[in-house]
Amino acid sequence: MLTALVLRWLVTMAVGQWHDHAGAAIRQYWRTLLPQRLTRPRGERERSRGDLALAIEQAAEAPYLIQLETGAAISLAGLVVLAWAGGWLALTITVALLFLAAPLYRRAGRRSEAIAGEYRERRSLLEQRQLELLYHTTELRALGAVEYGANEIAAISDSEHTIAIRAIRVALGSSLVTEFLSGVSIGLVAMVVGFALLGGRISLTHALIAVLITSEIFVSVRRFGVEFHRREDAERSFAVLADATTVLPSDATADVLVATNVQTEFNDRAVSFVLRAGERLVVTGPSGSGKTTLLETMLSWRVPRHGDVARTVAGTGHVSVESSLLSGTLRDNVTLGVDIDDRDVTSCLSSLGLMGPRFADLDTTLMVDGGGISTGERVRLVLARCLLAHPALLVLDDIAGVLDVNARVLVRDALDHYPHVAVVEATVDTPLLTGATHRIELTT
Amino acid sequence: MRADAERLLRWLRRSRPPRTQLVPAMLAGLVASLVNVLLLVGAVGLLVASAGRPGLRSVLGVLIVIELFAFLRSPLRFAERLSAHRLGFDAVSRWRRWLFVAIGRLTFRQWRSFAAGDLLERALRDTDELQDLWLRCVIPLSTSLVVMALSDVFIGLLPPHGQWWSYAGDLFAVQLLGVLALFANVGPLLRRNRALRAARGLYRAEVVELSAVTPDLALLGRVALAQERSARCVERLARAERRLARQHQLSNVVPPVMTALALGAYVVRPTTSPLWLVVVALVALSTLEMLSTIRDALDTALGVSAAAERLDAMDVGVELGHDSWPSDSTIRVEHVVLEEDDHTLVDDANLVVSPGRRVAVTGRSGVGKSTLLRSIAGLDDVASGDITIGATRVLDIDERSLRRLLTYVASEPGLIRGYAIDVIGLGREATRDPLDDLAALGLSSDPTTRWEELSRGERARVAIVRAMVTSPVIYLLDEPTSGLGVSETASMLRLLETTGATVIIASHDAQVIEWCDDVFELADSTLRRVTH
Repeated sequence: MLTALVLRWLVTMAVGQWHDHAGAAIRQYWRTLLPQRLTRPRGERERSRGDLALAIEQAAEAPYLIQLETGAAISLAGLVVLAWAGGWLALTITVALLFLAAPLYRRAGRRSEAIAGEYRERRSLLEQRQLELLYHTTELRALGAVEYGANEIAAISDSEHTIAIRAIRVALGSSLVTEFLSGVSIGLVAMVVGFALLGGRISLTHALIAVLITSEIFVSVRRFGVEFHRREDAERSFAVLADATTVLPSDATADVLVATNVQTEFNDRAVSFVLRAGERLVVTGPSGSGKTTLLETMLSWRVPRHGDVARTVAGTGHVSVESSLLSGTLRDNVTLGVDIDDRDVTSCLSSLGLMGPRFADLDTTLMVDGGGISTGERVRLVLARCLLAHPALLVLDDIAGVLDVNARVLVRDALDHYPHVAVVEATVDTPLLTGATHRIELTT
Repeated sequence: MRADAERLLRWLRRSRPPRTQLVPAMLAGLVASLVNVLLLVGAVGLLVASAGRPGLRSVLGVLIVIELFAFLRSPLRFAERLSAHRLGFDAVSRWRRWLFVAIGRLTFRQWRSFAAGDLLERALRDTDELQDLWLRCVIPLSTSLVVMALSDVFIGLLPPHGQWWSYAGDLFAVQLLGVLALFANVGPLLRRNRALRAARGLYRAEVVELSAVTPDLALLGRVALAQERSARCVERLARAERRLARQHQLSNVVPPVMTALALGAYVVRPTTSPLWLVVVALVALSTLEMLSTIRDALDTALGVSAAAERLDAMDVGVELGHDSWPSDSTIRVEHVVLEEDDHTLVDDANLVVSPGRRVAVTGRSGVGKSTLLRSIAGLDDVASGDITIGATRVLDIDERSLRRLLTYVASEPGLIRGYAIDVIGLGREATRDPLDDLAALGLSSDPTTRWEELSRGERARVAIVRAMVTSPVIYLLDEPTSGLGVSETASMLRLLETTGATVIIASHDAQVIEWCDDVFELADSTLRRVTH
């Protein structure tokens, strides 16, 4: 018996090690893959579905769930041992009780699904309200109503828990079924082998094995049942990761940018043009007319509703008000890890009006999107990093609005110094570009 | 380590579970664990007994006992888990309540620093996580310890009397050693867990940053930079994970090694009845399960300590005052300096407002008008100088009277959704009829009115009426007329006039400035009076 126990412990340890390694491998795989596959921005909807780092953690749980699944399956092989050690009656009792558990489980599953929906609703109410209250705490304090807010939080929290308790009752109810059946099973098997032992039909060793194996079979089945819901989490995280890392297909062209009858979800009018090196395209239209969507379609960040887009394989620079900087030095941000002479960097920055003490030292650390850099300066820094990468195409998404009059003049002059670069600019008002060769006007 | 233990204890105390809940939850856990052990011991004992002393009556007797345990076990587990969940849920509600009150004591500046990150969003998940403190830590930990102690006593009492005590003592020593070893490993685990959390935080921030920048880098053909940056964080994270996993191995080894020791000590015992030999062996074996439970409970404590740490960081609010409201309600701002993000917003401001005066503060946006109003309201701290009402510092006045008699209305009032009566009352005792005030401002409503999407102007009017409910004697209003037309502004000013209270208004509105007795301008960090 001791040998069996030691063996059992060793197997558990080995399987535990395996799932740790497999989990680590999954994490490593996604962490390595992630940076090269984040080739398009995550939309609002995608972002709301979950944090990528957390999704990787949850996805790494998958081997543990597989372990539980196989554990439950393997424990069924214990039935053979039971038949050998305890005889056909012990086997029949255990199998019958296992079969009895199945429909009860299904029923409990359906009920818990219904309650889970109700719970999610209550939970999201709690989350919204708690955040709303937390974001207005100063106001509540100013009105002498902190206590009111605290009571409301406690009340919603209690109501969430009432539903949660109901859900737990159902979940525990289903595990109660296996617990109960396992208890009955052990008892009955013990009785059967007890009498067999009395009658001298089996040995004490066989009897002991029969009782212990019965309890073992139910332990794995029960554990699998309890952790069942975690499968959903793991599946959901794989979906989040897969969505974020799907690279959209894009065609290449010898011209810089070619659009053929392109329609986007915002724009029904088909857009067609061929943009060659040095040409300038201005897209105008009021806000909400789909300018950004059209630009993002040209960048292969979105799939067009109709039509085709082909783009040069050479570098494309994209500048928008939402473009981000990296945390790091000024140099890291404009050279993007490529060796560029400091004088070239400084002259590019100053041509865009980024001069003075804050931009003099290229080793200055920048805070991500804040800390003393205005939006207008950030946009110009992003433009500088694009220009220093010598792109064939430059896409400017409505940046004129955040630049003051001087900055606009500087940017316009700077772009004139790159006559071979094709430029696309979307704007609501006066474009930065002069001498546009193509124009598209969108309407709402 | 000590600080961490104290922190967890503090959070347990904050949940203050009533004894009527705590005792059944603990008892249910204890009985369920005991029955679990007894079931196996009984079942095997039965077999041995029937092999040694064949006799139908003895077999049947033991059988009945086993079946009783088998049938009892499930409902007992059920009761244990349900009562533990109840206890956890009640604790969570209390913690959430505490959290809100704690955040309610923060100065505006402190609050803003939490609101700027995702700490407020996380607070909800953190209180949820703390729930495990009861469910998966305190209850299993204490029941396992008790079950181990009871098993030792049980072994000691077995026949032949007195002979088992020495083994019970050995078993106790082994169990104690196991428990101590597990606790000793908590310190290193905690340190590595903290390092892992820091690495995870960095990686998370990096992923968020890279998901924003990588699309642009990819277009420029510079994805290598994203890979290189991510690789650094991944390496650090993987190292932290490996180190924690290694430390965990130590905890994983303790239960089996201790169980082996317990059984080893048992093997050298003189033989007695085979029944008791088997029973004692199985009880000794239960050490494995108990020590594993203790290990998991300590892991849980480690896990929730991060949440507790974050929530504790929010417990930095100011001490609330106790002085009664002064008889003279003259507001005095003396040599006040206000700072924001290390730069001086307002320098040496002086202002005296006698009861019943109406004062306008003007200046371009971002100059510090709102901060000045909030400081007068005692909602924000001053870098230096004094703000008093009568002869009492604002911050020394009892919070309840202060909020009843001095009111501050923010420029973009929120929390205006739901039944009118709740939105305006906010659980406070009303000393005037808000429905009349709403009507005076041109908003018709009755006790059943429900507001969903109010316009900006409507929100501004509701906010004023809400501030008036407790009949304050001082009003501090931040741009109260934005979104209002000329006639709506006039009715709001008329209504305020009827109260005879002191009013300080931050505003650009010429109509409001005209209505005030004195006008001050805040420009270049200086507050100066301008001729009216």
